[in-house]
Amino acid sequence: MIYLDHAASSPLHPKALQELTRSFANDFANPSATHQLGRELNKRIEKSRELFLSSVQAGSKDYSFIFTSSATEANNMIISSLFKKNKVRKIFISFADHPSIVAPVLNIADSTSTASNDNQIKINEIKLNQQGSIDEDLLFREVEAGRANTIPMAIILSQVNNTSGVCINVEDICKRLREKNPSLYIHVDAAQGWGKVPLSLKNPLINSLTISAHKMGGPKGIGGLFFRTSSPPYPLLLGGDQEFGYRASTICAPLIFSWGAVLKEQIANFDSFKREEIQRLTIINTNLRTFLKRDIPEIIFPFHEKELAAQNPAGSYTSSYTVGPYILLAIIPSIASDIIVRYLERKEIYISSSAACSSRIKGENPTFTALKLPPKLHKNVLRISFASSTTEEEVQTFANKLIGIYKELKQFSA
Amino acid sequence: MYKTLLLNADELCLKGRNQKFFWQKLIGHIRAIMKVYHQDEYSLHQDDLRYVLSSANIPFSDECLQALTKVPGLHSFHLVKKLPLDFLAIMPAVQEELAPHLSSEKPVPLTFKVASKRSNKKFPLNSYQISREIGHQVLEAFPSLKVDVHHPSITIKIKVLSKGIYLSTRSLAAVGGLPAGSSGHALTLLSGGFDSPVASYQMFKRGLRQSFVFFHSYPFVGEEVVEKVTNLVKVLSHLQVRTLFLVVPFGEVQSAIAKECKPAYRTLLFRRYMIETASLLAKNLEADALITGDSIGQVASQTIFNMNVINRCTEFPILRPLLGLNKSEIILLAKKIGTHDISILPQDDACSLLADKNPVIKPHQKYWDSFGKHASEIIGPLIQDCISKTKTLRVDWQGQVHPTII
Repeated sequence: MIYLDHAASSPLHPKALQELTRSFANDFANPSATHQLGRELNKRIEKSRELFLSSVQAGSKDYSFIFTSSATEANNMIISSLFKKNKVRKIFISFADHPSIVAPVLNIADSTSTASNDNQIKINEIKLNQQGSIDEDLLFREVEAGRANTIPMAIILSQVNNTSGVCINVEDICKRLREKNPSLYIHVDAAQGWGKVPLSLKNPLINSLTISAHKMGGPKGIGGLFFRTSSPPYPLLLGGDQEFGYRASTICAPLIFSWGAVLKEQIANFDSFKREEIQRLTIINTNLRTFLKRDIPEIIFPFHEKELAAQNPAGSYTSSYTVGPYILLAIIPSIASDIIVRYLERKEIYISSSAACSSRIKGENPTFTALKLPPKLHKNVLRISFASSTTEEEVQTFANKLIGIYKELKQFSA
Repeated sequence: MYKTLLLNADELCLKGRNQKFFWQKLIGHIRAIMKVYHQDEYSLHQDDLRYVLSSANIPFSDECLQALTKVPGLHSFHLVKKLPLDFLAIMPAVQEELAPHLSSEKPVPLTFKVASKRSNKKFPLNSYQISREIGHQVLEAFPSLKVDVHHPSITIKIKVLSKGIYLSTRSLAAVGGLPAGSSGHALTLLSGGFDSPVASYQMFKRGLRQSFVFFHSYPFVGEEVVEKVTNLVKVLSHLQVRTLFLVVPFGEVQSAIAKECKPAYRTLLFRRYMIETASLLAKNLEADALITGDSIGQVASQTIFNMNVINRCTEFPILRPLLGLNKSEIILLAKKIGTHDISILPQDDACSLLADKNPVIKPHQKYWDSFGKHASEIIGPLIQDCISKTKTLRVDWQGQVHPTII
């Protein structure tokens, strides 16, 4: 099997599985229990917590960290808290972001639309350029304009967009945003990027940060939230003192230790290993595109072929926007992507596509629209995504099979 | 809540000396319904040539009554209160029967008429006397009601038979026509569209029991469409006792055809080989006809010329009950039989990639014949292959789907 849908989820790292099995078998006590079993378990969990905090160089006085069930839960928690606790009434989001950001925001805006002005939340769209980067002129103007009123404002940024693969240099943008408005609440979703793209909380610019385990070889069912200790969020789950009162629910030690095991591997090698990996995958990504373009002349890689890609050397995340090698969006205009995915799955090759083609569904996808992909191509979107385990060989095989399928299907279109 | 039903068979009366055969088929279906939907003893007997279904203790549930409305061969049935052969028993029962009619929010004035039939000549009053007397008593007891013998809102039916008096004010319509299986066994080609399920229903009315076949064009279409068609089969399965559903993987065959033929002939050739494959399956299933949802002119490929060449591909008669119906009539029927909301879901059973912009409407016989000869070497084995890979499923009234062997 050739699995190239890592942006959706990745296989469990062997160390993670090992730790998960061991822990599920042995660490069955409730970490909140008053007896020794519980206390010992709790101590180990706190050690893990420190590991996570140190992985982003977060100063213990500046940031706290809690475990949640997922990045989706963490995002929901922050968004709900922004409205309830921080009294945010203006929020900046991009509709190209993950639904766990867009949906809760739309939901609050919708449910408060008939409330009095003071209790309504207004959404400001972060508009993107053709290359997937943020239209900064527009954004910064609006952020600055908002500073003049005293309405509390918030912005949510995705470090890496899970569709386009475009990365934001979080530190750089946050610095500049703070200059325009020091009291702006900044939440960053790093579910796709953490563990791949360097991120540091040494300089406490960000208010809160979401991370995910299963996108980096960790188990499903656990995510994490960093937040400024001075302004903690309002809990989503009530009914227990777990996670310092910020998230009621019996803590799942095995998931924490399992994730911790993967993190230990990563931290040890982050700088050198990651740069090597990024360079290796960049070469794979580039070769793939070149190879496919030869036999499929109509194929488009909307985010990998424009100026953004040209400007930024592989592995350097120093400029404001880069397009990483991990996620590759491809469009074959003359063939619906769901047929391609089905042809590939018969050969046990798995990639991602837009939703099923049907003559009856118009199929305009709001995420793709926000990314400025033309509506008539929304049914032709393919997403190929890599991980550290991806080999040159697998990708080559995939490319050959894709070309074969393309040629076969091309016969049929008149 | 009713423990007695008076059944009206539909065209049974036309069958003369063959009545027994048709009646047996009808009973078979009704007994199967009782087994599933009625947890009590019951009897199915005759009283003066009328068929009575009566429950020993519990009234028939709504589910059970609904199931009976799906029986082909049954025209309708009355919801009856059975009374002893005593005139004085009638009026109290009538009052009970009328109460729900009056309490519902219908516009006043409500009208009624009494329709009596006394076939038991031992009963002291005749039909006319019964109607007159009861009618009079109803007017006294319910001053808000008025009589209308032409178009009454409520008809109080009183039947005096040998074993009792049968009183009813409500009846439910069933499918009508002939009992399932009394006209034979056909194989129905189902797609996910509006037409084929309606065609199937039309043929159920004429007493054909059916097995169903769906040609699945994976990987040109996804797997969700199989679920959609299965849901259609579940709806249709209530019209007979046992239902077989075959899913034939047809993608390879279509791919091979599309590679060899002129694009304009694709759709028609797919039809051809579907009919040929269905014929082979029909033989195995001992079915004697094929049923399709073909209409004339609904889409470009539905011409009489195309129908002609397709007919010649099979020795089985291809029954096309929708030939004379307009699309709007078909849609109305689809709504009536409960398949419309499933058919309207967007999972396509055909892929636009394979469809040609200008499908042939009048095929050239020469090309048609030569294609058949030349392609048979390639397509023949593929058809054998897809038959061997066909999934055979049994669908029951609870909507359960089980793999089965014929």
